Amino acid sequence: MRKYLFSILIFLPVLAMANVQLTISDGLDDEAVRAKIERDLSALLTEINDAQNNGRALNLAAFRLTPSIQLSLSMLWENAPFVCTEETISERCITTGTGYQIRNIPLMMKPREDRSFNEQEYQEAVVSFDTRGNMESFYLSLSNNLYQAVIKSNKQITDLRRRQLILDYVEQFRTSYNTKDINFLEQVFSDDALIITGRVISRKKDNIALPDKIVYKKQSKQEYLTNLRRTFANNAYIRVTFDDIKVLRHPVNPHFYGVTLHQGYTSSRYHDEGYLFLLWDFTNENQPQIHVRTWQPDQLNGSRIPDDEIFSLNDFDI
Amino acid sequence: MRWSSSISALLLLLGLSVRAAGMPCATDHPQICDFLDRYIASLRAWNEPNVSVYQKMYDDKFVVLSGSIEALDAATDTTAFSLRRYDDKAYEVTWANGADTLLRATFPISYELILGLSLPEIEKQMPSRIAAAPARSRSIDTVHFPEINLPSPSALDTTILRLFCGEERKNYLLQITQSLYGFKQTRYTVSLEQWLNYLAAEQMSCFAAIEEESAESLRVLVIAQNNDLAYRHVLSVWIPMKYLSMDEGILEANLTAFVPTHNIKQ
Repeated sequence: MRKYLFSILIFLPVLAMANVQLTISDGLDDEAVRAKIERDLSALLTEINDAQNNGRALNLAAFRLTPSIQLSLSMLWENAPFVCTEETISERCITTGTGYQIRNIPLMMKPREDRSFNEQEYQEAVVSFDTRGNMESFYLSLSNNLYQAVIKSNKQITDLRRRQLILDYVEQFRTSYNTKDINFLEQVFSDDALIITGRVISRKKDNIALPDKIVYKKQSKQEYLTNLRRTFANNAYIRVTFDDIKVLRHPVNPHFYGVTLHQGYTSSRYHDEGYLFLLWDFTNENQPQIHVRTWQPDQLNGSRIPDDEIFSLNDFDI
Repeated sequence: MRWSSSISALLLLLGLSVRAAGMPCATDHPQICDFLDRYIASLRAWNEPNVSVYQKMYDDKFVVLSGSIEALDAATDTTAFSLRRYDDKAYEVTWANGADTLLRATFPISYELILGLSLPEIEKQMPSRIAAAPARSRSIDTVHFPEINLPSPSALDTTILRLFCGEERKNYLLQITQSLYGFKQTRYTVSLEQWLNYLAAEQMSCFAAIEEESAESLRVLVIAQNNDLAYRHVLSVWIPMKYLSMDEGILEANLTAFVPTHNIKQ
């Protein structure tokens, strides 16, 4: 009897977690989508636990999953079956570009005896959904401690990777002008972004022409975007080109990069060329921000402006 | 234009092609040939009321060095064509009838210009492009970045390079999260083999190096470079250390695709 009781105690926790109830604590206002995600993910986790408890294969037929999720789950299951370790899960919903994501689903891997399993048994799942709440992917995230316990880091490689990401965001930035995408620009400029635009002024004194000079106008993000909305509305054709892109990392703050480039701008009514400087903050690599944008003409009094007069990282205290 | 099939066959043998609707061109650069056909036709038909055709060519940096677009009307079956690539920066094309140059022009290796697709359009094609790649029959070249100085690569460095540049075959799956224009993402799963097939099919060269190493895992940077269309794919892959001794596993990876390189100064 004592032995039997012990067996029950061993199995009780496993059996108890067969039914999983996931609730979204916040981050998703659409009630219908929220209910669908809660219902579908709870049912899937319950099926996972039921299959593991009964030593059977996953039965995914009722879930209308895409082939890629079925493949992903099947491969995970083939490698090592698993269970969800919590009866009730309350998680925040994250909005992604294509829908929603629920992270930190606690799983305990239950490797089969006939296969080696060299992972940590505790894992966390990340489940993504489209905007209607249909499940799009199910995969294991690396647990946070894997990210934190870096023992060797190659800064040259990180810098090389970051530079590629910057070039990608610079291309996205250019694309946003060509497609008149104010929403992108709203997201990419920091709220306190400093925007400086140069303009060549012709001068005269006593009817004698003086050399032209560049005057600079400072704008806030909202002032700049308000003017840009007007420009977008008034021009059917806008074409922006970038050339001679130079990327420089800030010598002290490794998350800040200065980008200098030559910009060509053509609209239905206007054409100009000049130098653009962008100060990028990559503290959050997934959501980099521009703190400074400057533009200045590339010519003054018939000559290219000297390199040392082109805005660069050195011109701003960071 | 006046093309005959017999001369077309001869030109194909010479590395030239005469396509049904196009001008003489290089058979091994079909994308460039398609671009030239399309672009020159668009210049001839240019009808934007507020932007001149010259402004368009200026914005595209399509520069006529000698001859003219109109002179291409004199192209015949025997017109010679040459194509020259300057690193990943620019192409130069020439059509000539003997010593008479009909058109010599340069244009930047901008995939947006050459493919006629914008960044948001082309990056969405990535999963289907990978899936469509046939099994590779050629090895993948490696590429080096001068700013990266790894004086004495470790055995692990070499293993990673061989694994992600196609010299060692494992049944890994890549769970790719691809960044898209406008802070969006898409997710899909492909085998590492299929990813490598894609690199070979696109004649891309490959770089792979360890960015971070912990007791449990590696973070690896993979860069695939296409000089013919001047772009890079940047893949960050996390590999649980123990997977290195296994033949299969699922790897999490972040992908930034189609990073242009033609307009980089440094």
